[in-house]
Order: sequence, then structure tokens, then C-alpha cells
Amino acid sequence: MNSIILTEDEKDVLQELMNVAYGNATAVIAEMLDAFASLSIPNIKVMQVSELMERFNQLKDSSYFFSTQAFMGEFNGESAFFIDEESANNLAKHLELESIEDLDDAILELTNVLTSSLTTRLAQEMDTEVSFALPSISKVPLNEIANVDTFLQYSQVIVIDTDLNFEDQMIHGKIFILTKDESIQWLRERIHTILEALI
Amino acid sequence: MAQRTNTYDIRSIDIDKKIISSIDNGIIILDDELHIYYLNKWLAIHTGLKEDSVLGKKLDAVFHNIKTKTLTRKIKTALRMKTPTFYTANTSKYLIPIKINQLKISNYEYMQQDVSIIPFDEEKRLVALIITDQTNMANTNALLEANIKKVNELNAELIRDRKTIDNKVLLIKLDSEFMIRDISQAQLRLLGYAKSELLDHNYFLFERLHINKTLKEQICQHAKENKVFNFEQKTLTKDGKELWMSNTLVPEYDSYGKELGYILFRNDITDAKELQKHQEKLLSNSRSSAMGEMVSMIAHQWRQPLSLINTLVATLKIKHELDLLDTQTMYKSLNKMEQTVNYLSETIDDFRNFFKPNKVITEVKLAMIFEKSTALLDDEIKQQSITYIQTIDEEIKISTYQNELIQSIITILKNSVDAFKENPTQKQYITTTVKQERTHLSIFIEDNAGGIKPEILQRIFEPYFSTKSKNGTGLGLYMCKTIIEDHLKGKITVTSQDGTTQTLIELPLSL
Amino acid sequence: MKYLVTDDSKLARLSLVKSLKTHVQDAEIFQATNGAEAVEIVKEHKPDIVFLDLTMPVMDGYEALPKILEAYPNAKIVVISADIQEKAKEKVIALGAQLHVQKPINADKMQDILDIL
Ligand SMILES: [Mg+2]
Repeated sequence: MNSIILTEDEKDVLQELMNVAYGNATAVIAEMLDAFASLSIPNIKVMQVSELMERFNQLKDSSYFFSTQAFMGEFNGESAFFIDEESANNLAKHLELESIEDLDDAILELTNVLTSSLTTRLAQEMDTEVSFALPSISKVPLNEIANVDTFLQYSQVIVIDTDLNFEDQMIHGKIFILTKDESIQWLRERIHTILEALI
Repeated sequence: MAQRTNTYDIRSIDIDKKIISSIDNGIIILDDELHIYYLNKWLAIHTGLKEDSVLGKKLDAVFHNIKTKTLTRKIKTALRMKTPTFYTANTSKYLIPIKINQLKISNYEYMQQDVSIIPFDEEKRLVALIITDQTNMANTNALLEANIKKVNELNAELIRDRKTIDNKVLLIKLDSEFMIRDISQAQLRLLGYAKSELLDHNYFLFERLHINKTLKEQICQHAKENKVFNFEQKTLTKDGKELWMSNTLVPEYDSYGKELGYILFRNDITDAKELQKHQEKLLSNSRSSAMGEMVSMIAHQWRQPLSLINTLVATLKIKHELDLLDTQTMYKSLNKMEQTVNYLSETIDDFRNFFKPNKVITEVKLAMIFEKSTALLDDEIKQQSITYIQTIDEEIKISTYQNELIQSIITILKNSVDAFKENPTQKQYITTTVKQERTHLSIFIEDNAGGIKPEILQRIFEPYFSTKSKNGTGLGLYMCKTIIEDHLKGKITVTSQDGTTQTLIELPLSL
Repeated sequence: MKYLVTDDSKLARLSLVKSLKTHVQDAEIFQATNGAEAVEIVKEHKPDIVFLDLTMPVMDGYEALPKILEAYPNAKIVVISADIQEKAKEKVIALGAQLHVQKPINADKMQDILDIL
């Protein structure tokens, strides 16, 4: 596949769709945690997998938990969620969890909520559907990030990353939505349809 | 809404209880306060609960292990998001406790479960819990994890070993053309080169100054035949320091048995070489010093017979001038002279023999050893009025290198004799006592020639250490110790008190 | 009537302007890409209705809101945001916004907004 370059307009559309989707996801989590999140502007970037791995590696050092979840449909890909130790502990405190297993479960749930609401909403805005299967959500040991072979199957990825930021509760995370090669083409066509409808 | 088709699948089709019942999954329908609305046959069978008996009850009241808060949160989130939420066997193990009763090996007592919580009726706040048996998967995962752990441990160990080897072992990897393929950090450090300076260089070219044609041919021959070859060579460090290397050339194969080239394991033997050279020098020094001692002893031995010959010659001369020399007297004197000259030549042979190292071990009487040793010192002993007392059982025998032993004993006795020259006393004596033990014998030699001061005593076995004012090379006792300990496998100790010196030699009865 | 559309996203501005035009014929529509620009335009043109996004670079909606009202107290501010947390809504109403509407905007939603105002 040739190198993908996203135009400013394409980026803008993707950013705004993500913004809307993320607003939705945050609201769900805010309700779940009975907290208030500050929203930030999502970053959109086309990356080589090697570059992505490097970013993951940087995050790895300060992270406590890393999880991924795949989503399927016309728009398909994978989400990756990082949360640091302090945030995980604060999350545990906030959810009044009893044990470390509960914490892992709660973070997987957070991953699931983020991924589902983000991608569902994104798909909805693009007039399609996505589905999630349970086995596709998993915790990845931090030292094995580089070995996650689904990532290695990508050549180029559109990386949408945004911060999960509960200031008062001191819970911070980073979520990446990664779309695979064939999905990128589909995504661009959709973006153009949306833009054309407006002009 | 995108998700609607998904989530409403179950509701839009009329729920056929027969189908739901025959599914190989557990299905429970709950409201967001955990009241049970439905339980399928699979669950009833596995839990032993009748649907009628649990309907309307709260799930966490039926199964006390369920964490109310967590489940409620998941249900509410599913309803709120209109997408499923999950429990995974990975982290949660199971929701509904179902004992595994099958007779198969399992890591788990309870069925491991994945649980999907699917929004079912948003108005009535109902969700469907779909429970999937993941025990097999969990078992496989556990097995896999254990194996991965083992592999990782082995791998870590291997990496550690590699690092250690790289840092500690001197080795050079060569290809079949003797080009340097790799070189350990330890070797690089020793030679002072960077890896890049040596890689892809020909080994023989690199060592051209130190590997001659013959050695090169030998190396190549062994390499060609895939034989291990040991050789020593000099090499130069980058800054020109000369080092001695002992090398072992070993053919290297990959895991399929294909030849990769050779590995050269090396050892820095520079220090050992230096020591060897030093020792060789010492040994040759001590040999010449022994010769010197021998000559001086011969001189002593010869003094009397020579003066006898001198006297005989003078007598013959005078008698001849006075015309008093008759044939009988002349022959008598000549015979006497011949005898004496023979004695002189025997003395030389004796000395020469004793100072020639033995190649074979022989069994000899110890008394005979001492007889031979003292014979060469007799003259000096008498001259200095030393009383020599010897107590040796005639039956004691020893299997050893006899000349070496004689040489050592002569050295010790000579030391005593010489000591009296420096410290003459009234009643000078040297005593020798030999005692036989079960496996060894002890030779005990004592003199009263003034003793040895403690600060000197601890240094007497050092090479080039001497207290004698002249002719002392300082190698006698060093040689003695080397011979007794290295060649004769024995032990020598010297002690001193109240003007006396004791030398104890312990020797194995048989070498 | 003067309108100001404030959003860092071109897509969001386009769809807002389009849905606005389906209901209002002789509208004078200004556009700003962040809070700071919006405050400047308000000072100069005093728009009757200000559509304001929350998440924007340079100056976000929360910061811009009181400044806009200060520059032109008669402006009616409609927050159009993806942030649908209850606390976000309460916060902007407390700051003086007339309405908080969830993104994205379509013609139907715009009709409702204009009706309320
Ligand atoms: Mg924005």
C-alpha cells in the first residue's frame, strides 16, 4: 500500500467525529464514576507501525495496564488503552474495589466502555455498524507490547489518540483507535461523502 | 442506531425456549437490581437449580460469591451504552460457581467463564447474561503461560550466559576461511581493539608476526580434519604489548550440523610464561650453584689425597737424588699414588652421579643414602672437629629418586657444616635420626651451630637468600625445597631454638 | 439578525451554517475557530446569537463564554458541544449560556434551538 497522506479536511472531519464520539464515551464513564472529565482535542496521525510501537514503548514505562479490543465491521480496527499505576489505584478507590483482580476487571470494563462507545458512535456518524466480541478484549503484559501480532499485521495505521482526564479524581489514561489498511480506504470514502453533503 | 440490530436480535425473534434451552451456553435474564427473570436449561442442569425455585430471586442471593456492586455496575453500563459489557475468564475466573466433575486433568475446580452482559429490554431495564465455558481455553492458556514462562527463563539465562561469556571468555570466531566473524568483549578488552577493527580480517594475517609457516600448516591441517587443536602463540596488543596466548581451536556447527567455521578459545598465559621463564632461570642458576658447591666439596675431599701424592712425590724425589730409591719403594709409592688417583677420580664420578637427576625411581636403603651423602663431607666434618651421630635402622627402605634425595641431604648437611665455620662452638655436633611411619618416613637433622634468627628463618627458602658471608648463592635451600616438594612429593620444615637448628624432611615411603 | 458560529472544526462549522441557513434567509453569519477569535468578533459585530463549541485550542468555550457576555451582554449564547456530561451542561448554564445542545447539529435540532430562543 502506498503511503497515506490525510488532507487537512480529512483530518478535520475525523477529528470532529472522534470528538463527538469521545464526548459520548466520556459521559458514560463520568456517570459510571460519578465524576467530571475534561475533554481534550483528539490527535489524528498516520503512522508506520514501527513509529506506533515506539510511542507505545514510551508509554509503557509509566503505565500500569495496557489493554486492547478489536472491533469489526466495514469500519474495523483495534483500540489500545493505557493507564498508569496511580490512575489505576485512584480508579480502584473510586469504584471501591476489593482486590487486584477486581481492578484488572474494572480497567477492562473501562477499555470496553471507551472502545464500544467511541467506535459505535464513530460508526453511527459514518452510517455503518460495528460489533465487538468478548474474546477480543484483553490485558497485555507491558513487556509484551512489541509482540502483539495484530499490531504487526498493520502496515500503516491511522492513529487517533486522546486523553482520558478526570482531573479531580486524578485518573488519566490514553486511548488509541487504530484502523487497518483496508479500513482506511473505506474511511476516506465516508469522509468525502460527509464533506460533499455539506458543500 | 447502529447497535440496535445487534442488541435487539434476541428480542426481535420470538424467544423459542426450546432453542435457548438446547444452546451450549448459560443464559440468565436479569433486571438492573439483579432479579432473575429467566434461566435456561443449561444453567439449571449445571447448577442443579430449578428455574421455578429461583425466578424473582436476586442472583447475588442465590450465588453469594457474586459481587453485587460490580455486576450492577456492568448491567447499568450496558444499558446506558446500549452495547454489551463483559466478564472475562482471564481476570474474573467465573461468575456462577459450577464445579467441574469430569475426570480430566484441570487446573481449575470451577468452570472458567466468559460472560457477556447484553442489553435486552431498555424500558424494563433487562439484560441477558450469556455464559460461555472457557475452562479448556483457560487450561490451554495456563499450560501455554507456564511454558512461555519457562522459555522466557531459559532465554534470560541464555542471555545472561552469553553476556558472561562475552565478558569473561577470550574467544574469536572464525569462518572456514579464517576470517574473523566475531570476537568477545573480553578478548577485545585484552587486545585494546574495537570490534570493527578486527571483524572481517584474516586471522593469520592479523597474527602474521607470531604464527610461523609450520604452525599455520598444523592449524590448517587440524581445521580441515575438524579436529580440536591446541597451540601457544605470542600476540600483540594494539599498543604493542606482547602477550602469550594458549589457543584451542574447535570446529563450530549450527544446529543442523552444518559447518560454520571455528571457535578459538584463548587463555592469557603471559603471567604463567613469565613465571616459567623465571623458574627456568632460577633452576639453571641453582644448578650452576650446585656445581659450585660440588667443586668446593671436591676440593675439600681432594686436599688430603693430593697432599698424600705430594708427599709421595717429594719422598721419591729426595730418595732419587740421594740415590736411595730402590725399585720396591718406587713401585710401592707408585701403587699408592695410583690408588689415590683412582680415589680422586671416583670422588668426581660420585659427585657427578649425585648431581645428575635420576630418571627412574629405585628402592634403596636409607642408610646407604646417608652413607653416600656423608662420604663427600667426611673430610670437612673431621677437619672442623664436628661430631656426627647418625641413628638409622638398617632396614628402612624408600622408593624414590635417590640422587635428588642425596643432593638435598648433602645441601642440608653442608649448610650445617658451613654454619660451624661462622659460629664455632665447644662441642660441635650434627645428629641425624630417621623414623619410619606407616606411609612415610621422617628424617630429622639437628645441629648446634648457633641457630637461626626468627626473621631469617621465615625467609630461608626464598631464592637468592643467603646468610653465608662468601660463596653462598642462596639457592641451596630453595633447590632443596623444590626437589623435596615437587619431585619427591615430600615436605621440609626448619625450626630453630637455643642455638640449635632442626630440619625435618618428611617423605612418602613410595613415590 | 447576526449570528456567530464558533468551532475549531471546519466540519462542525459547515454543518452548523448549513442547518442555520435552512431556517434563516437573511442571516449575517460570522465564523470563529476559537474562543479568542469569537471574543474579538463579538466586540466588533455584536451578534445576536453566538453558537459556541467547548473543546477548542487557544481559548476554550468555558473561558470565552464570560468574555463574550462581557463584550456584549445581550448576546444569546448556545453551547454546541460533544461534551454531554451533566456537569458540563450545569457549568455552561451557570456561566450564562442560554442552551447546551449535543453535537452534531442537523436541521431539526436547529429548528428546536431557534424555537426556544
Ligand atoms: Mg471542538
